[in-house]
Amino acid sequence: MRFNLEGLTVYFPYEYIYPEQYRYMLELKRALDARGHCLLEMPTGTGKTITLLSLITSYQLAHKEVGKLIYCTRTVPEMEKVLAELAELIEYRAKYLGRGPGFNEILALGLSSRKNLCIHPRVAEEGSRESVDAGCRRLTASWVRERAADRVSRGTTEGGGEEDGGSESAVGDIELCDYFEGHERAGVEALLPPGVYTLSDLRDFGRKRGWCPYFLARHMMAFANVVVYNYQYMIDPKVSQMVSRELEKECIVVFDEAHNIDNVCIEALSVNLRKQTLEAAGRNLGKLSNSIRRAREADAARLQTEYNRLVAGLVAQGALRGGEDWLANPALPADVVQETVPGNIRRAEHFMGFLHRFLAFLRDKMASPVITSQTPQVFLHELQERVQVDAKTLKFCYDRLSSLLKTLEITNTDEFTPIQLVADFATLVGTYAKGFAIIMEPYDERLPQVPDPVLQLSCLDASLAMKPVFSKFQSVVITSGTLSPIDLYPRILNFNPVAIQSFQMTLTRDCLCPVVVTRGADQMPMSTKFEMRGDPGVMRNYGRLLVDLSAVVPDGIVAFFVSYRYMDQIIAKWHDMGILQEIMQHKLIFIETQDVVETTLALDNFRRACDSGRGAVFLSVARGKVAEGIDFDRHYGRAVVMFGVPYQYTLSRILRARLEYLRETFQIKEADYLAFDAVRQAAQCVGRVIRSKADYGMMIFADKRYQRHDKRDKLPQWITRHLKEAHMNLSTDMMVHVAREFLRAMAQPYDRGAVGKSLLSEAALAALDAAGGLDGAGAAGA
Amino acid sequence: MAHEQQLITKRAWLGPGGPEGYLTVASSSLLWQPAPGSSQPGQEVRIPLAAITNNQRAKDKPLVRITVAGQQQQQPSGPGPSPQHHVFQFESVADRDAALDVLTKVTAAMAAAQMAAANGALGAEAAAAGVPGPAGAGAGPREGPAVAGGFSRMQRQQMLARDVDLKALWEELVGGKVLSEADFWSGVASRLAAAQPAAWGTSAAGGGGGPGAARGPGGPLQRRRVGLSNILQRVEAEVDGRHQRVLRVSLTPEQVAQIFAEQPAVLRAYREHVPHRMGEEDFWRRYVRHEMHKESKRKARAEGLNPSAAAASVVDDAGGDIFREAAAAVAAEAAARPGAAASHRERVDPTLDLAASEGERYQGFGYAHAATREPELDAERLRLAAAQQEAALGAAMSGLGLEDSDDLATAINRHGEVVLQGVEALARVEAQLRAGHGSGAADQRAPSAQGATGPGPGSSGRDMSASPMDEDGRGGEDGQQQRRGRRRRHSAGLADLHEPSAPRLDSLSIADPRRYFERMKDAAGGVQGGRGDGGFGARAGGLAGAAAVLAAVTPGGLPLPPLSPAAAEAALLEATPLARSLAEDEAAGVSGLEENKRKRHAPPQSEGKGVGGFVPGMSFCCLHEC
Repeated sequence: MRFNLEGLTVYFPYEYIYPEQYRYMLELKRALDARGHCLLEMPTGTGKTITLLSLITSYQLAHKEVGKLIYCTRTVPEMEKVLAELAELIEYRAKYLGRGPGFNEILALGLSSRKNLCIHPRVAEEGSRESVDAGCRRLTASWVRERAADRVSRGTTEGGGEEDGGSESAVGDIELCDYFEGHERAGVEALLPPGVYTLSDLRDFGRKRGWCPYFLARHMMAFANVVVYNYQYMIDPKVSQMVSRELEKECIVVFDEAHNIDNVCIEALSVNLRKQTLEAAGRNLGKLSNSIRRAREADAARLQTEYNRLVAGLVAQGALRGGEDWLANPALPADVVQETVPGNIRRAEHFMGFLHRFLAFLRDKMASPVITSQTPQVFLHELQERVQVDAKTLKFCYDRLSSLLKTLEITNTDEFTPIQLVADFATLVGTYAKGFAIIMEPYDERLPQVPDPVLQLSCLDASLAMKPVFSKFQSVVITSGTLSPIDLYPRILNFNPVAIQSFQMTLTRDCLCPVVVTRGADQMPMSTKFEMRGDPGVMRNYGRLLVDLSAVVPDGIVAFFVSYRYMDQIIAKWHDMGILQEIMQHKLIFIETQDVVETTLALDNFRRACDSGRGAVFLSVARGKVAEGIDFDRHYGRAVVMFGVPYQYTLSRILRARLEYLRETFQIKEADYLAFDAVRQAAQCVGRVIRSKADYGMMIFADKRYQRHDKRDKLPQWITRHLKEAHMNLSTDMMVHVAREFLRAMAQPYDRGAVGKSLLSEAALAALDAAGGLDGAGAAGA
Repeated sequence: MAHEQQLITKRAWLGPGGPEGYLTVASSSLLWQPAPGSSQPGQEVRIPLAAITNNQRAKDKPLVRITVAGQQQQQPSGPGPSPQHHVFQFESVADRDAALDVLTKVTAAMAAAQMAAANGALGAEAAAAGVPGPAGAGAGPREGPAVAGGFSRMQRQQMLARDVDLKALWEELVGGKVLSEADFWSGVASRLAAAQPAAWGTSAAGGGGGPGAARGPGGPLQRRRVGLSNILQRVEAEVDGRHQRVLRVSLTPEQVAQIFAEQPAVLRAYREHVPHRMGEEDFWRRYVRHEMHKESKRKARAEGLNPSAAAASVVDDAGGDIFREAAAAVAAEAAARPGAAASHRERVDPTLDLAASEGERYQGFGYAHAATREPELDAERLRLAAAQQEAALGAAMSGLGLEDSDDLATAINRHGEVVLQGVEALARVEAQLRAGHGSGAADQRAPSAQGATGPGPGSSGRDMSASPMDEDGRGGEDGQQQRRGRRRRHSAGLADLHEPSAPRLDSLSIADPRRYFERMKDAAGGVQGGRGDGGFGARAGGLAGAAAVLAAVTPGGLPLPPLSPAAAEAALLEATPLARSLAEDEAAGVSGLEENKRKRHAPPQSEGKGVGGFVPGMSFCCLHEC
């Protein structure tokens, strides 16, 4: 439909629109008009994504001065979904705008790491992100290509002797990436025609044209109308300085599913050092020293040039060749020092010595058998005392190291990740005195038997990472299905939204059926409370619940556990008790594991089992990867069970530090925060089953603690509104009865009597517009 | 008919407000006798069961209307061969239903007996002649036109002979004169066309000539898939508890095949060791023991036993090394397979691809022991943990490090995958086994092919994509097309925001539409036919069907403004002739009804303007693919 929203023509790819979508658009449009940030909560299953896309692309169409839409998602699957919806929207828009060049043109693309975009047959096979990056660099670094060009022009076959044991010299020839070269050759001609490109579309296109999809996408970002990428490309200074620096102020930045944005922010500025990291960093230093010595012998001029450059100042550093694609400074752009590097680390050898000392200090710290927590000031003071390393110099670590690596023309950067981590750690510690903590944990407290010492530089202040985003871009939209309590977010992210709104869902039928199951059929209470979760009776009751449910619910069921460890334990127990076998009488079982590839495959098979009518149960973890980005809509999820309350691990030192910080800075009570976080997570999990109002699903909270007021209150309104008084304290058999009734009622053909009430047609919108807008649009929130 | 058996008798009035009497269902006829001493004396009515063509129950009223074919009823008032109706009123709906249930059963039994007799004749005749003769004795497809729905008479007969369900349906619909022969077969044809891109999972490997052969007429209907049981197999074994010796193992060939399919490592071990190094029996003893060992270890872990107790409870696994070696080899092969990452990336539905998200994480940044995440067990720390456990459990169990903590989850996932592949997976294993035993020395190559079905990246890769039923877009070569399709598969999913697509109506001539709906009710959706929209036909019979039709009406598209539900319901009641006869008595001049009457005459198939209403007796119908 096409309709007029306070003077803006909006193209929406459906014949009807939910009233809350309309209100959402209204609120969003006003925020865009006001050129400010906004915070919008709309229940899951009301089509947030398409609403956002539809309004913003329409806005772009009407206001040419508006910049790109930068759509940030948490995961790659979400990115794919956004692009798929956008493709539908654009296709639909063609109906009104016409086809062909100049009419309905839009360039939208997803951007991801090289690991997901690389099509080089060998490099793409590398295991981790770092190794793919390094594999790429090995083939595409400017000095490698210069050398190759040089050799071609001279026609010699002399190998480059000065590189540090790279495999190319052993081959005797310099290997280059065909795709990268193809892209370079095409130069400014290398353009994507308008369209919507998912990652696999980019790969296909790259393969067809012989251009590197990654560099093509990076290049095309400048021309794109819509860019979809991961949060970190916007929030994490290391990455955003590399990728998003060029974006203009007028861009509209959207953070979807942003209920966890504070965690993303603090992780973006945190670094952890493991024992292995420090050991490897030590080896790195040895290697670097060797390289420096060799370089000094072979080509002393190069090191001298670097020295001169450092004397001249860091400003020139941007021009340093080979720097196109390195992780940028871990500190926020505003805090990066623009001074010359201090004299004591300008010489490569001196810098090595400096790092050696710092590393020794870190090793010493890590040897401590007890948990310690320090503020940066204390840490720096100690550092000064013990090894005479001062904060000012530390700040320059990142820049000094990357300058050195580039000077030495190092391409296998993945090998040098450890020393880079150490340098990043140093830079952050040197830069920030407040909002950070340095925590040393000898082992993960959940696995005390496995020694795993970690030196954690932990950022506590989520607003730090968001600050440059808010100040750089004119409109930032933060949205999710569960942003409660919504007034908390402006405080912890420290920004002033022009619009804060929480929308309600209008339903014509109760397609959600949340129930709280507190007891098993034997009336024994059920809970994952620490003292109860190991009880075989509780485990059996949880198992019976799933068995009974699988006999009643058609197609797919999803179950979330509080942790992998608990899930492992309970699965083993259920296997013993024969509960798994009983479930398999009705449905197949698939389980999330720590191996992502296997989990992906299990998900795929789960869907096939649901499609084929066999039905299946998917066992998953509340804070795991599946809970984050996979939908169990329609027949893939007719019931979702949340076994227990998914609390964070509350004894964690890092969490303690964060809670202390929240209490001191924002007067947020620890218990409140923890409960909010847990319930928010649970709501997020159960929300996975509803993707539209035609959809329906049971939502089972299986823990007696959900019955309590302090938990229930924290559930988002769209759940509590449907949580009937009678459904708050059920036993398993009563729940099965409720489920049976509910599913029978919902399986009836969907009644479309909703038109006018929960659905608005184009005509209704036109009438609304003529009448002067939606009555009570403002009052819709609250 | 004096000797006929009386089955049920209920008090009933002949017509609403008619004379009182008793209705008796007997083995061959339906009998209504006036009650002695009734104020309104009536004539006795006897209806032979064979003459009853239909019965209709009124909704919420204890009424039934019996339709009688107009030949041999004993009612003298029956003028000629036109169908006759009798309306009986019972004391309650329950009475009515009880009587009619008996009636339905009796008529069904009679029909079946007739059919059997007819078929017997047919079979005998066909056997004798070997050629389909013209107009045979009973009902048979031979009666129909030479070509119906694109099938020749011969093909039709073959299909019926092959498919019992289809035959039952045919008997019900064509035999019951609900559908014409041509309509029935065109419905079958369209259903086959719709089923052509196999809709799910796997197909039976058994089928003999393979999928190509099944393409013939009736083939796809035949391709009903034989599936595997959901149940995770456990090998039955008799164990000497004291000495932990496996005494006897019982295994069926299917179990063996399933074990091999689910655990490539066991297959590999089997191929390497049987029969050159050990006997079959020995192998399976070791296997059972190995499984017991794993089980006990799991138990010890789950119960958090202290090391010494755990060591005592864990079953000794001396012979299990062959499985561990094989598992390691399989894993190594899977890891070393070139193109694994790329093929994984291209095959997996991108909206499910968690590994892609993993590809965006940097190591070393963020939190290590984050409270929001699980403790990460990377390979190194797993090894550490395993080493510790090993130390705790004593030196007896070496090589434990090879098994990770998730092995049960992995086994269950793998089991699900094999079950979904169905017997195909087993057939593949068998083929490999045969090949392996045949060539003997070629052991090294073959297991790598098996490795491709392992739970590693890109599993269900090549060999799956080669199978015809792999519809899921995981296929190899024309992947681009399929990927595109996969992408399209995701959409916002807000189906309810779309205008409900206008029901696609196929014209179909049915002698008596009421009969169709009645049948629907009885057969509970067993009707096949023309391609209808996911609409009303099959979901409901009679009144409910009409309600569905009305539900599909776009109120905006009507010439008149929408009615109040009450008026609409009244109209709906009125739409059935039985209710109409009642309604005519009561409501003579309600304006809403007047409007509806007019509406009923709007053409039902003018889709552009919206469906005007439900017209009883019109020659249209929407059949639903079940």
